[in-house]
Amino acid sequence: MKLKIKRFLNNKSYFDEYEVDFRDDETILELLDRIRDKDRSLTYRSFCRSSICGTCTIKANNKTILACKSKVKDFIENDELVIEPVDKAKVIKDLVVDNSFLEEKIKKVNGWFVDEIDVTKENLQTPEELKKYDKQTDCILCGACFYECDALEYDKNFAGPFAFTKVYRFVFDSRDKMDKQQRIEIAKENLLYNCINCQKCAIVCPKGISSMMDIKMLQMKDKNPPFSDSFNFF
Amino acid sequence: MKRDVLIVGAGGAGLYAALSAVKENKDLDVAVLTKVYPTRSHTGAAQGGINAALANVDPTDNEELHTFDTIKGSDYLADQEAVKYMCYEAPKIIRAMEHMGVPFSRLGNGKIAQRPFGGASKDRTCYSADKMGHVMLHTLYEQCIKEGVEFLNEWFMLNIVHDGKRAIGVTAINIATGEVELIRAKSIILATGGHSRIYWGYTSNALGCTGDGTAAALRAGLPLKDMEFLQFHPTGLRKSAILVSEAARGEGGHLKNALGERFMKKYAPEKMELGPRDLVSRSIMQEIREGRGFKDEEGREYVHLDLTHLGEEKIKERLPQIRELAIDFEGIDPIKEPIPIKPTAHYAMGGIHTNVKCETPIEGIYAAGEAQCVSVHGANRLGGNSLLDIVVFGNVAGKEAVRYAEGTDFADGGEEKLKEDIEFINELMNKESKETLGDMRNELGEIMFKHFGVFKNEKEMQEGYAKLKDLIERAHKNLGVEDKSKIFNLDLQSTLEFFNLLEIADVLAYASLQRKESRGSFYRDDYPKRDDENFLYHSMITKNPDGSFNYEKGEVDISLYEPAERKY
Repeated sequence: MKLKIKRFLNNKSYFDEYEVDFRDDETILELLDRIRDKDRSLTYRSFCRSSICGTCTIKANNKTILACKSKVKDFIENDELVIEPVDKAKVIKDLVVDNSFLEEKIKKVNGWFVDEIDVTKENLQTPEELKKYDKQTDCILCGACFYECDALEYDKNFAGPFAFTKVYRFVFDSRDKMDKQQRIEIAKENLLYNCINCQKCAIVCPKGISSMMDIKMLQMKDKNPPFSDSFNFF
Repeated sequence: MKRDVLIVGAGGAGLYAALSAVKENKDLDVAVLTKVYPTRSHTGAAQGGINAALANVDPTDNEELHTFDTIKGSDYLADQEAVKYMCYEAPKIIRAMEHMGVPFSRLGNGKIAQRPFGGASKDRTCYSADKMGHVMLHTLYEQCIKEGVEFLNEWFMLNIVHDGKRAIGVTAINIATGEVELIRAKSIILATGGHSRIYWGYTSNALGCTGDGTAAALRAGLPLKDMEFLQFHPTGLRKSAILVSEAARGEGGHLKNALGERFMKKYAPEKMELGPRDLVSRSIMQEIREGRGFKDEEGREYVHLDLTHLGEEKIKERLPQIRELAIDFEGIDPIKEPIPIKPTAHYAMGGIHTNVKCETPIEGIYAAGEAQCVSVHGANRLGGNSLLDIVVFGNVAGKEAVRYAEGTDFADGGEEKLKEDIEFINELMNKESKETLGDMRNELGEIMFKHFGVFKNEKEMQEGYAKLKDLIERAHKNLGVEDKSKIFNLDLQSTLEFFNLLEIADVLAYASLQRKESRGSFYRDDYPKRDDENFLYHSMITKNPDGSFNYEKGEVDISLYEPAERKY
């Protein structure tokens, strides 16, 4: 197999090419580790190697993936594998990109639970109520949805799929004490309605979350949708 | 740079400490320095749950039983008043986190659900399916952002700086730029996690669990406690050693040998698969030693964790992540087939010595979480007590650090240490490497697993220690940094982490040779019995400037329960 890895340092980028064999069950992270044993300047992030920490997001043959979860054999095409950094984020070095947008976007959408602390008793919540937002808490902030998002091509102020999934998670949590409509209004200030339904977020999410569906659900719950007035023109 | 309270590490302990610190005093600058992005921290990989005697499932449970189970589980090496403190705090801190938004799994009546876990006498482990650590980590991170905690992401701590009496700060590299700085702090909390990566290749831990804070503490003259105690989790995946949560057994999973026998009936007839981890790990290894394990084509030996009888619905609802891991990393769907597993180095009971207020002997320096040793886990930690420990003592450390910072000013000094560290880094960067870092790390893991593994004895350990000493010498002589760029130099970071691992492995090996008994996770074939008369003490190790160790015996608090034989 031919392996191409995009390198970047000091404003220069180029491809390294390798001729390599791979094991049937080898992950892309394991393959990169083997290459790095020979060239220790090859730089990429990795941490848990079990798809729970969201660190090793990269692009393999143009698909955004977690390197630790993805098998080499599932991504090679015509006996070739091209590894690149993800899109929509500034590349720092090789496959490492600036991920400071994660904290920024969480701040923008008020992505935290609101309640008074009471150490004497817990909120009650039925298993059915939990089910409404449980899947959304699987998000590992790997950013894959953000890097693939088409709505961000049009406007960088779009909070991004993961951020709206977080909003969804609080709006649909029966325990959260912040006004639901207020949460939706904040989401709207961050362009909730800019989603173009491309579904790329749902396709790339390593945890199987569909942010696009979460965005639709938030729009449906919006008591004050932006387009309602325009219907009067027809 | 200057911060009133500087927390090193952004896992559960660091984040909880930060949260408590900002809530305690809004006017102080509280910053969290972490070598990764906060939500990458290894707390997120904790699966099964967190213990608290809420008595939601079993009304007969209480804090006292939790205290006793923990002490018994520790093989009587835990400090009993400290354990009591943790267990009585547990229900309160669980409810506090519930009000922060942690999405606990629920009972039909809406209360937090609880499941059985190893070594526990009641159904006490609160959970969120099998992603407890993940949801705690993310919730605490969100709350920290809400409260305005400052994050210094992707900074790597080099050394702790103090003047022999009180904290000055830490030296650290900004990974993005390669600049080394002295960050002054009135108080410092070391929440840098565990060091099971000394068993490289044989551990459930993330690549970064390299005990950076523990090694830095040792270099700074702080005592390390009970370093010989490192827990092997019974169920790591065969190929990758990735963790399969105890929840798999808590929910009714069976361990089976190659003859199809549930072999735990021989070792823990009452608790069976829910014996404590040290016992279950030894039982698995014993089965393998006696030829009743499986062996794959590549020579890996293992046994089966069978969940098939639990049924598709229960596995999908209660153990979804475990199913995903087994499919991704073993190519096996636990709904249809048993999972191949083997014990995996998992958790360091030992660490930076503190008292119950998280204080080290140096004023203004605190430790919390897996890096810390209070000790509440003694010789063997119970499943579900780690996530509890990190938040209970993270909370204490945050508050104590604020109290100290409020009453003091920044200390002078530290410029020398900064200069020294810059020189050391430059030297390392200019050195040509004669050996491969990856190979050396594997070598370390092989030595530790073979000679300081589940079963130990004098001969094996002496041989292993000689090999380790040789490796340490070679590493310092032959290892340089090949990536010469200052920007995001992970080659440099990995090399520094490896030096930290070597330093810790050295202490662990040394401490292991001193303890001529078996206790909890520490098991010797040549001394298979616990020996309270001679070894009921905490080992306390400090390093002399010439590299030799001082070894002292610390008293164990046994004021509540008289040590007794452990039976399960």
